[in-house]
Amino acid sequence: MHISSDKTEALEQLRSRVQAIEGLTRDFGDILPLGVADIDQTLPWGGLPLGCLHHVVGADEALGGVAPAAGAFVAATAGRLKSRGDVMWCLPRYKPADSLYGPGLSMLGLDEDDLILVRARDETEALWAMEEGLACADLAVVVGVLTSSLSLTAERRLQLAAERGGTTGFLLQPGPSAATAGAAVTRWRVGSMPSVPPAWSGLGRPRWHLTLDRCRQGTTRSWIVEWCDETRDLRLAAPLCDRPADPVAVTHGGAALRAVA
Amino acid sequence: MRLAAVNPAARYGGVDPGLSLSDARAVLPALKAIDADAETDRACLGKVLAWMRRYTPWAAIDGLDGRGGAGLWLDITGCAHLFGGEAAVLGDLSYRLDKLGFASCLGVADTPGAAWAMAHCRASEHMPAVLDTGAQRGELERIPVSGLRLAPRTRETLTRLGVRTVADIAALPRAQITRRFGSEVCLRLDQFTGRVDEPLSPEMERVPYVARMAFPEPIGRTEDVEAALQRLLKRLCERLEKDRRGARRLACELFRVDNTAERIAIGTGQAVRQPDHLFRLFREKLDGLDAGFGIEFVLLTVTATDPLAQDQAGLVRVAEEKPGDKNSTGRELALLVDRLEGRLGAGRVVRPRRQASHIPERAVGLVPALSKSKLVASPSDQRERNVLHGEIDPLRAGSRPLHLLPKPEPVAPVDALPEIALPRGMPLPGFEWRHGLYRLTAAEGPERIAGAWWRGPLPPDRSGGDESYFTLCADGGAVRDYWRVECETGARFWLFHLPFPLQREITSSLPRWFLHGLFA
Repeated sequence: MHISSDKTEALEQLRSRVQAIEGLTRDFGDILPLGVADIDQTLPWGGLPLGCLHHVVGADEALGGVAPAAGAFVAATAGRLKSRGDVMWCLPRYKPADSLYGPGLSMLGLDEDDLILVRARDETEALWAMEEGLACADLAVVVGVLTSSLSLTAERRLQLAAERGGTTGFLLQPGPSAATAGAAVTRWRVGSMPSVPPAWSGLGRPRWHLTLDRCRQGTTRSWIVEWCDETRDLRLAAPLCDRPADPVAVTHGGAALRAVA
Repeated sequence: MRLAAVNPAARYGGVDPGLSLSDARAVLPALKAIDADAETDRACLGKVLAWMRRYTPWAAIDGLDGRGGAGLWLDITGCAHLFGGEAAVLGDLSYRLDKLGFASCLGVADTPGAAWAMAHCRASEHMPAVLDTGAQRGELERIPVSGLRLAPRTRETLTRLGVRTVADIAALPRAQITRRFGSEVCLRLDQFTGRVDEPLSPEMERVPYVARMAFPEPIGRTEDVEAALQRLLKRLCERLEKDRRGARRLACELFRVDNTAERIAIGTGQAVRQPDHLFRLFREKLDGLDAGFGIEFVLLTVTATDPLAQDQAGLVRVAEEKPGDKNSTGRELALLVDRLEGRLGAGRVVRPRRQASHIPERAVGLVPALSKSKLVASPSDQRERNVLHGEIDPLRAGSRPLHLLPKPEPVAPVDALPEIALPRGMPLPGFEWRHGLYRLTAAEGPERIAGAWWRGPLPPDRSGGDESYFTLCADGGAVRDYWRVECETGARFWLFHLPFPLQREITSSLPRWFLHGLFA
């Protein structure tokens, strides 16, 4: 169907008006490429925009109140921004709040020395601390751990604070939640996946199922990525092809093979 | 034990300072002895000195004489007429000291040396000795050698040589005295007569950091209180700047018309003297202010200070510092931390800090967020240095979990299916934890972490009062074999069990496997 030029023009005008309403007219000057070409190309900005709010949700049932895969994704991303300032992690004081473990974080590239933990009494306090932190220019990243979904107003407030302070915010929500409307610029869902066993015995690289659930001005997609402990970066996983459904049988079979050899 | 000082009653009973306590008890059985405490004496002397400022600002401590007495200097030049002359000052001072319970001997003269001699040799209690202006030379004959503040050895030698009065010393050739005793004797003589000046160095009064503001009309609006507070803060910060100090704790008292007061206290993580920083901390707490019938008086006090170097605000403009630049002063961060702590409470804003311990739960401690001993070296350098110096074990990449449970939780191993043998390298087929069943697909381990036998048991908050775990980790029993395992969904866990020989020793009811952490 042919669209006349004035219609195209009208569409463009409408788009820019919508963008103005969304508060995204300024171009994101600072972009953090995630280091995976496929993901960076899918994001309309060529990487993760800074100075705004991102929402990261755990895909699996939370394990004891935490989502290690989602937390690791946030920690790894925040770790790459630490040269811009400190990273503040706001925890509502529920059971595993203090369980964030420094050596494990530094293995994800986020050193303890760059991390400030805020231990709030409840979620309201944690969100207040997060808003204060987002407005502080000395911080690079503020992570807020949620126990439940935020209202649109609350999310919008945090997004505005992030824009004001130029600080990047991550809302980290351990449990899976329905995709609701939100003010965050992107929304990610991260879950763990069975890893590919290495040729030798032991554990393979941690593998995450990364879904871009929502992205302003962009499309949604999902990837399977691997975290490489040695180089501390994400990479796309080789497609699963040689892994049967029953893992116990695989290892059993593998052991049998080795025994034969 | 010897007597350091005695009161008049004891002196009357025949006991003198310097006597041993047993001898003194023999002389005076009713003697009551109290331990001498020079520290307290000095503190008391300091208080008396502060009180002396009612006569003159130029007051100094002469020191404790070791016999229970102490001396103070007062330079009353230009002050005496305020009280009606020197005699009146002496009378007033003597009377008031008497009332305060101090026995005093007062002497007045042109020079400190002469005044000291008058007080020690001529005056007695209730009988001040005044030496008229310019009369030192005529007084020499009547002052014994002990009035010259000489070292005891010098004084003794002089006495043995038959030198009794200061006039005797003055008659001797100065060259010979100096050759014999050094410059001390002549110096003291000159200080007595006034030939050599002897300045007093008074202890300057430390004015507390207090600012106040009274209003002609009581104020009630929060904006007005804020404005007043801002002005007071500015005044105090200027003074702090001059003294090169920064405030750590402040208190603001708002006095209402009906004679009630509201007290607001704030604290900072590091020394601060930016008025706007402090003001923002106060504003957090001014929210629910109840002005009542109005506030008529505001009193702002800095209750604790720390040294703070002067910053060169005039050279580098704060606005030019790039926000987020690591080299910037971090002032915004300090303000943020102070505000967060002000609302959430102390100890809520912390930094994890690596500690030199190989035991997982002891490897990290929490320190205040603004503690400045950040590691300067980059982590990789640091790691190399640690390896070189053997401070912290180098941890293999990916070998530590993202979440460490505050307390290891016992898990129930799942029984192996009889038809499938447990694959090699797999410590257990699966486990149950918090009502979830996890079947293992891969495992890596074991990594043995031995207990710190040289340390006591774990702190109670980490062991959570769990008796079995507590005994487990006490002293030598904390050898643990850790496994990294992955289950069907890809979730990874950090499990440990006790080494097998140890398990047999411990009761069979003890759970064998524990979950300690969650990997990404």
